Amino acid sequence: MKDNETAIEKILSAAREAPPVIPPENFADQVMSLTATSSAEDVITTDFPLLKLAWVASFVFAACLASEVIMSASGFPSLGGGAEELARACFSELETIVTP
Amino acid sequence: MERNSCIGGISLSLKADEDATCVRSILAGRPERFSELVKRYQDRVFAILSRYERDRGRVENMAQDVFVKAWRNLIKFNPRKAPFENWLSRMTTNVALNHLRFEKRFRNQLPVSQLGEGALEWLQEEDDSSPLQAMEAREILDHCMADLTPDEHLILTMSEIEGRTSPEISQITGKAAGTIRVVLHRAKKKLTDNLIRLEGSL
Repeated sequence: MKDNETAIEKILSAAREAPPVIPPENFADQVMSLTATSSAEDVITTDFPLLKLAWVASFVFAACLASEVIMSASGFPSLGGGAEELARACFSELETIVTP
Repeated sequence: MERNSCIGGISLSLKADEDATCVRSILAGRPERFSELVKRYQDRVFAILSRYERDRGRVENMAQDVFVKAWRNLIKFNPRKAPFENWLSRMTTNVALNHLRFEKRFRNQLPVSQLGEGALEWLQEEDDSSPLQAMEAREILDHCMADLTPDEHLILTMSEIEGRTSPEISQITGKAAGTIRVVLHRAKKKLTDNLIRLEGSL
């Protein structure tokens, strides 16, 4: 019966000796042809603003969600309800201006 | 000895400076110089990835992925934070981790019948002094690591196969050294249990 600790050690030390995959000769050319389609300038002009926009969008979403939770927990009208109330107040203001 | 390590330190620092200069020149409008970095580090990237995947084609695809990612993120590389080699190793490890996550999600554990003859023979032998070939060891290891989480698989490989220390793994993965030790302990325990189960099933 094998001792498991020794067996694991033997498997690991044999696995360490496994030869790595050798890169093909034209590997650098393959990579260069892939990078040719996206230049460093493209990355700066498209990727970064998109990334920032995604962060801002998720921040706004998280802020809305948090305010909704806090408002409903403390008994205030929800964001949707609040917006409706605000719109109603604005329209009634407008009506008084239009029809004196 | 001291003199050698000092010379080694200087050559490492020179290499890091050379890489940083190369990156600056690429960003300044000489993209063709990126091939110098690819040629310099392709062996290292392939060596790391070969620890996580045995299929040649997949390793090649993953290595391409690493270098394309490096290219696209070159603007974020800061030579004052870490040398290019470490930055690229970190990127390579992330690609390996994503690969492990994908594999765990879409692949079931390999049946015992898929183990090669040599691996099966070694497992069935009574004493542990019999020789074990590297590729057979990889087969057994892959089988016994199949139910490890991607993080456990990664940390165990980095520590036991690549021979990295806990602080090094911590630096590359961004996890605390204490967490690394806990994950490593758990992974080794699972590995031993799976080996016992595998031997019992033969």
